[in-house]
Amino acid sequence: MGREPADGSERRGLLKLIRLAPQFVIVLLLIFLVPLEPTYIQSLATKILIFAIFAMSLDLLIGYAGIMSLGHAAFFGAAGYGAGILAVRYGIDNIWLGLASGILLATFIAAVFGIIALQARGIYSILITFALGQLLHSLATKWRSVTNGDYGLWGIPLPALGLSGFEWNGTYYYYFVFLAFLVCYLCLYRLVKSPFGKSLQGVREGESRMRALGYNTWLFKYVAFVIAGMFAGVAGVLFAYHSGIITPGDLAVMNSGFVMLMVIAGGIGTIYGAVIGAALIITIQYYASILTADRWPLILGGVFVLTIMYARAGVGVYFYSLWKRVLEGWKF
Amino acid sequence: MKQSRLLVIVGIALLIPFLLAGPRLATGAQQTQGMPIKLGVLIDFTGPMSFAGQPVVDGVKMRLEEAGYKVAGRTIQLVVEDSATDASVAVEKAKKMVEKDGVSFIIGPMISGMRMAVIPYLSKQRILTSAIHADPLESSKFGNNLIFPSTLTMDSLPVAEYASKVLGYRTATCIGADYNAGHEYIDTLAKQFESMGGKAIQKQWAPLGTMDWAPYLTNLKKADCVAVWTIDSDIVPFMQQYKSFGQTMPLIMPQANVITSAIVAEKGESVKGIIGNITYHYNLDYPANKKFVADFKARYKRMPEHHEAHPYIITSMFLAGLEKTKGDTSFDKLKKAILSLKMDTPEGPISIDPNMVVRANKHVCDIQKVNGVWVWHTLKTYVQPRDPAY
Amino acid sequence: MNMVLLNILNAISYGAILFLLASGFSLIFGVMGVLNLSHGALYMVGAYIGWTTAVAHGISFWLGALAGGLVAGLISLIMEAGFFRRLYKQLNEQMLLTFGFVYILDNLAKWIWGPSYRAPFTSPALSGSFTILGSRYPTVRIAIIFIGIVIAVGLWWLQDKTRAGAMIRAGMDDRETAVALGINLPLVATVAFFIGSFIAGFAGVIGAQVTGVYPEMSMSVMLLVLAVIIIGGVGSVQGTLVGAGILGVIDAFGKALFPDYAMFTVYLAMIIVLIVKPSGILGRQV
Repeated sequence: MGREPADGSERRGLLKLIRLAPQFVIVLLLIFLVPLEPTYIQSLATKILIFAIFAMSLDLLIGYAGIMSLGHAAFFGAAGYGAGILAVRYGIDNIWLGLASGILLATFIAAVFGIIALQARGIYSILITFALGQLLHSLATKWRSVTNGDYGLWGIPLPALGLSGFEWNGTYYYYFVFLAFLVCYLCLYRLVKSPFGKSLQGVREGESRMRALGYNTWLFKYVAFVIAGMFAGVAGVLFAYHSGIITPGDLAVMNSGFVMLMVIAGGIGTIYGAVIGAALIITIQYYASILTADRWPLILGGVFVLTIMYARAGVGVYFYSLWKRVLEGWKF
Repeated sequence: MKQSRLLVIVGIALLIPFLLAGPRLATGAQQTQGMPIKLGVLIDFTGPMSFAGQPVVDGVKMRLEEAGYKVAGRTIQLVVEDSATDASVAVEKAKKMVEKDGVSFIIGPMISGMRMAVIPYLSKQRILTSAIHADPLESSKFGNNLIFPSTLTMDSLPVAEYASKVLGYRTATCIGADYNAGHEYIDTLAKQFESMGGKAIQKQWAPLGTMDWAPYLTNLKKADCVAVWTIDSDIVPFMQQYKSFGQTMPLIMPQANVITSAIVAEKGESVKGIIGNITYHYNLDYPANKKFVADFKARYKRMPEHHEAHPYIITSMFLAGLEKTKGDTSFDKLKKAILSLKMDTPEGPISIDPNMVVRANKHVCDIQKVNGVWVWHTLKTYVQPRDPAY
Repeated sequence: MNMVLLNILNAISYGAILFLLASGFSLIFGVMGVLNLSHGALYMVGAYIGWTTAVAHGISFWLGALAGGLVAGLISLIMEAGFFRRLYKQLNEQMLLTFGFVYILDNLAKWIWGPSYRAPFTSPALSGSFTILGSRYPTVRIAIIFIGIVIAVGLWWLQDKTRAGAMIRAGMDDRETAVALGINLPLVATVAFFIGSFIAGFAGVIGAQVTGVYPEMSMSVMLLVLAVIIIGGVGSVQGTLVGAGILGVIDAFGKALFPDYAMFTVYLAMIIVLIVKPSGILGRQV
């Protein structure tokens, strides 16, 4: 390459930087390119980042704790309603209060659901999480005085930052969501690399073995369940402010399935996979539906089936392994 | 190195959508003379309300074809997007239609809840929009919403009055679909009925997708009539089971358009007995309707429903407004022009109140066999009734 | 007394439809271990095929029901041969695959038959009503009860009294021993998948006598199937009968007694069962 060989520590630092090149490029694009785009594209980017947080939280559950869930949207939606009800019914539009109430609600519900959901294992956890999610959906539809029923709670404004004289617009909100995304990504990344995260994976791979080693496997899974619910709640609050409306559909099994698509497509068991999966699925859905207003579910379903059949590890993982091979090719 | 090239290519490919969208330069078409006028249709092609998608587009296209896709010397382009029966998707698509395509008017979305998510955004962007089957009066506060063909109140008031004043019913037992629209229609009807001296002695609510009406039918209390409202896929089983359980109380129905003419033609024997509030059916006796039905049938080989008739009329209003402004699509001028319209439509004469609520005829109808075909048949026409709330 | 009898009949006839819906699913899940989330879509396709046969072409209703079952069975064979076989033993992936199939089947149905609602249809012999204890009761529902009983008896006989049934049960209970005994498990699985899907398509036409057909029904039907499975347990005809029966009773009496909260009584029942016995009342212990 014609470069002078640097001494040990500098070279290691440089290596690390180069290995992280894709992440850097993506972050730079997200910071600088997106705000140059028209606002409807910014809006799409905001939605992608929100669902990236949502998908990462589900990946913690599916990919690391090994708990299959068809009801994850319950926490997402509940948090959205928490923030929405605060804004629309009580006129409180402070973003910090909104986030707090939404996240608290989601965490509380996850704490309750977790106890029920972890009663059984394997395929039955799917059934239980599905039932619990649908219960919440039913509640949101029926409790019209609070949630405004199936029409959804509309009129959620972009929340106040608490700084006087600050006026939101879509671009500022995009940056806020981007920051939130970075925080969540780093938190979850640290979590899965921590001893807790490693033990969690051990539980997923061989629960009886871990129990024989003296681990309280139930507690690990429960904590993971609640944390996953909490992060889903973060996404839910951001989503409610972004769309200006939260509907029972946001709690329903179709939404749970939709985010699961993202996790699978991107790559289970990798935090970055969930991010890529979110970007992929939302982009495909958006452009496919513009291409053909009535046949796009065929495209989405087809992509999903193809991913499971031929790129089972996930598109994100595929790209990552490609990058790894490139690095090796360059002897990094 | 081949792999790195692949990675670069893939990376660029992923960026293409963002690059194509283009930086801020292209925010919507400049609505100047000579450039095409864009009309947007935002309707559900997927999701539970997907039956609405194609018919709405058909109705709009028919009117545009009649005008040769031209008005006041400018060409018209149609932009159609799927709102997927999802409010957040509807907002997304609305943003795209306004900022990328530069539409001056959006017909739809259909469902009131989704409309309330989209209207505020459109209002801020100074874009006019129209409901397709009615809107709550509350939506007029944004100043850009054409409430066509009426407010939700008028979907039940005429039949409440007919039941109370003409048929002399004093008591009613109600069955409604247990979701927002169902509650709105039935609660409103019950209130109107009671304000005219009647009494709603019972209300039952059935979840959407109720296949089995047996529990509700066996619990019906005796009254002068049964007021019922639910969606098309539930109302037909309801009617069939109603008959086969031997119930004989007369039925009244707000917003009876959910029982389309196609369903009436196929299942007339089962559904006859309902007296319903109808905005449009193809036998309405207006000259504009005779022509509309003949043209529609020739083009689409089927009879028109309110799904097609309403968008057709809305498009007519849009075009008529543009004729008045001589092709100027700016918000204030177009709104003023549309407000001043008085037209004869397939639904009868219409005019528009200053709050953008349309005044159109309502028809109380029953189901009869005419010339061997089961159809909606007008019993009484209410001429451009006004919502008492304003 | 009249009211109670009518509500009981309601419960039984609704339960019969639920049983038809869920029995196929239970068989498939019991033998293959796959949660076929597109089972509701197969029900819907069967109903559409039945409609095309009986209404659009005016051919016999019963032939339509048969056709519906056959087409659903055929689709299941394609799913099995083209997709599941390649994901041998990867149960989670197979389940996720079926989720993708739902998108595809739903949209294909909308494409072929259009998105509008099709009204209920039946054989001319079955339209009309009986008079029971002074009240009219629709004939179709009595017919549905009979069909449900026939299928239930047939499946139970298959499960408990035939060699094929024994092989299926062996495959469900102890895979390794079954294979060691020379049972061709992949063939058993394929046959079970076909039978289960056939019943789904057939049930679609039978149920359409009451509900009609529309594209969104695949999801709403799927939710009902899962409810039956959760309550009654998976893998046995008896379990499905119990689940369908309980759900039928809850639906009929729940709507009669607590009309505003009918939906919640169903969920409550599901959650209680899930807490007390997660594998369902008659489910095989997990």
